[in-house]
Amino acid sequence: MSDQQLEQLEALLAKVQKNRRQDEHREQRAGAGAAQAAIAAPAPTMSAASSRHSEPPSTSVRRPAADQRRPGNATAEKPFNPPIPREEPAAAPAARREPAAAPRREPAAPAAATAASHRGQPQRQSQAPAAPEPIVPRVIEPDPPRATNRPIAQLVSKHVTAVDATFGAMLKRSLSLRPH
Amino acid sequence: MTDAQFDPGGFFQFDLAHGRVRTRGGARVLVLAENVLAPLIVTAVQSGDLTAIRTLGSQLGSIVAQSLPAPANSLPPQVVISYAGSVMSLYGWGSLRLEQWGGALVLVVDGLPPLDEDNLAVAALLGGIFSTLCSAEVACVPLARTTKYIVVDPRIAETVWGWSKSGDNLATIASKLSTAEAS
Repeated sequence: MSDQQLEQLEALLAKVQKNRRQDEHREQRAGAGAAQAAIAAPAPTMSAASSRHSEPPSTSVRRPAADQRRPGNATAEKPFNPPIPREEPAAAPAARREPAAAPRREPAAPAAATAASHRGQPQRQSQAPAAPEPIVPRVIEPDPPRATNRPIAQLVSKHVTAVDATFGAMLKRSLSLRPH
Repeated sequence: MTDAQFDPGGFFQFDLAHGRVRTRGGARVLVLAENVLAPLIVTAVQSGDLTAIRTLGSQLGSIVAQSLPAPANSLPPQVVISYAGSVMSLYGWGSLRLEQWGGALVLVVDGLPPLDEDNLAVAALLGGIFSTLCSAEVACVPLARTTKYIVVDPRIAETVWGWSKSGDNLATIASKLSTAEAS
């Protein structure tokens, strides 16, 4: 074998080892997800039960995902966190809301969560068709103004009318008027 | 305000034996139908001589002045108008009211038969009444298409009459006038 073939073999070997390590990480992470699901499994059931009494179904559906995101609840998965997001970047956001591994190993908890989510869904579906009702504007027009012969405003005098006690004073004032 | 009111009782004395009608003051009067008086008034207006009608107004003013409890200038306007209106209605010259538009006095005469078109005859009658009653020269200018007469100094009567003939209403005319001390 030539040196070049040796180098290719070594590179191949290194790649195989790397892939094997990644597979091991994946399996360990899946196991940790199952353990986390086992820890978190009672929580959705409890929240689903409590949601029947006090909270709307939509909030009870979101709660398991929020619990999974909390690092305190899944201490076992901490060592596996750094390498995982690079491999499956597209699946990461979905995993935050609905853990893909959990339903395979622990069907009871997702069933409860799904049941809770199903309880919430019919309400959303029933609200959806009722909302977009077309708004028809209602036009209210005022009555036509009443016709009048008299002007609306008249200037009678620029000056305050003095109250005269006698007819003579009134007459004197009237006779003193001049065009201005 | 005084409680005095004009007493119309016995104002006219009909002497049927001699065919005479006299007023309380002794003046002899003739009773005329309105359709007889109206052409006479129209003729007087057309000839521009309303002296006779103004004289009639002066006689009525004298009757009012003699009936009043005090000189007209010292009495409340309600009393003066009440007495003047009573005498006018006794002679069949309609009913009289008084309005004040700003500083201007306005006389309103309703219930008159149609006389001349511009109401100049009634204006002359009112001028005679109030000139005698108040011992001052008074012009009563008729306002076109109304039964109202604005009381002004005779020196500005022609101007006010021109405003009225050109279509100014009473409010406009009153707004064009101001007292000497205000202007």
